[in-house]
Formats: sequence, structure tokens, C-alpha cells
Amino acid sequence: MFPAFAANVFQSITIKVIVSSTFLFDDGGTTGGIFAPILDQILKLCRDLWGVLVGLVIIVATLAMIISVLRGAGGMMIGGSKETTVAVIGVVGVVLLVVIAFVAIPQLANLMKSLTPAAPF
Amino acid sequence: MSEALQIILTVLRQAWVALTVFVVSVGALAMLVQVLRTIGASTIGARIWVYESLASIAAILVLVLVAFLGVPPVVKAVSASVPGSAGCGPISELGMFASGLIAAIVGVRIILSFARAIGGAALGGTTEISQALIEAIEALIGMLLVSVVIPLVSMFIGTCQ
Repeated sequence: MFPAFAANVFQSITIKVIVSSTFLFDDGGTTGGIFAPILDQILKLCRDLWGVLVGLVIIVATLAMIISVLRGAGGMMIGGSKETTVAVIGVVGVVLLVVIAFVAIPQLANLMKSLTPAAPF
Repeated sequence: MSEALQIILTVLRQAWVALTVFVVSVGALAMLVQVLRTIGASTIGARIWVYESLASIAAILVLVLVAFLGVPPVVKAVSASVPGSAGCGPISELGMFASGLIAAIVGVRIILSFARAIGGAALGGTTEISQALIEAIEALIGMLLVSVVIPLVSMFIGTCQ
């Protein structure tokens, strides 16, 4: 039951991150001028790196949740209530971090992009 | 001279825009890297790494906000302190050219320093952050010194009667 729930959560979050990470794909507003070719290359690299990091976050979060579930199950088997509680809190923490990574960071990046100042000279 | 200044300023403005886009991209990637580090650290129970990663996320956000909200007013204020038309005659035109160019170069140098600082924060390099912020302050102090030097030079050359 838990793996199915986790898969649904990740699917939902992945869709959200693709929709919300438009700040890296929206290059309509940049006027790099003579630096535009270099900027395009850098942004292309950043997009690739973003994809790699999203994949890594999903893999690491899945592994972390599996480890926590294993730890919680072990704790339940030996009657370790504290161990189980820590494991449950660990799962919640990982989910919270994934939400921060996939929902909050693109929003923060959009905020930063909206704050981009014009040249003060 | 003013046409040449405008061409150089246009190039420097484009450099400013490119650097701000670079700062946004690197900042977002750096925050994602730190979240990845936090997840890994919390899985293996490394509390110090978790604290460090969360502090790094906050530091990146603060650096970006300072770079975007704090730097432009500072550059405007300091560039206003550079006398635009010191003296008279050819030295006046040269002074205008120099003041405009110095303000633009300092602005680009400061945003470049902040880009370096954000890159350093992404990798957890405290020395890199310190060096980058020292560079930004150096640029500001250099500009303030120039604001004193330009009138002195015009007086020394003595083209005004």
C-alpha cells in the first residue's frame, strides 16, 4: 500500500515540477545581446543539470523512504516504539523535503526572476 | 566620446543581464543540490549536514536577494558620487567618459562577485564566498576613491582658468 501511495505522490509531484520549473525554459525575456550565445549554452547546461538533479532527488527520496519504512517495521517487530516513531517522522521529513524541492524551489526561482533588476548604469 | 561610451555601456548592460540570468539559474540549482544533500543526510542520520544544508539554502536565498535588491541602489548611489564633469575643456569630456565607464564596470564587477559567492555557497565553499564579497567591497571602495581622484586630477592639470 505504501509503495503505491509513494508512487502516486511522486507522479503528482513530478507533474508539478515540470509545470512549475518554467523559469529555466522560458528564455523569451533575456536580452543577453552579444552574450546571448554563451548564455544559451549555460542555460542549456543548467536545464540538463536540473533534470539530473530532479532524477537524483526522486531516487534518493525513494530510497530514504524505503529505509525509513524498513526501520519502522524493524522497530515494530522488536517493540521499539521510539524507533518506529523516528522512522515515521523520517518519512514525513523526506516527503516535506521533496515538496520543498519540487514546489517551493521553482516558485522561489520565479520570484528571483521577477526581482531581476535592470542595469543601474 | 559619448557615442563610444554608449557602445561600451550597452555591452556592459548586456553583461549585467546575462549575469543576473546566470545568478537565478545557479541559485535554483544550488538550492536543489542542497535539498538533495539534506535528504541524504537525514537518511543516514547526519544532523550536522542537515543543518549545514538548510543554512546553505537560506544563505543562497539571502545572497540572491541582496544581489538583486541591494546592489542596484548601492551602485546608483556610489556612481552619483563620481563627478561627471570635473574641470573644463577636454578633461571634462574625459571625466564624463571615465565616470560613466567606472560606474558600469563596478556594477558588473559587483554582480559578478555575487555570482561567484552564490556558486561558492552552492558548493559549500566559505572561502570563495568571503573572497567574492571582499571583491565587491573592494570595487565599491575603489569607486569612492576615484570620486576623489578625478577632481584632483582636473585641478592638477589646471585646464580651467
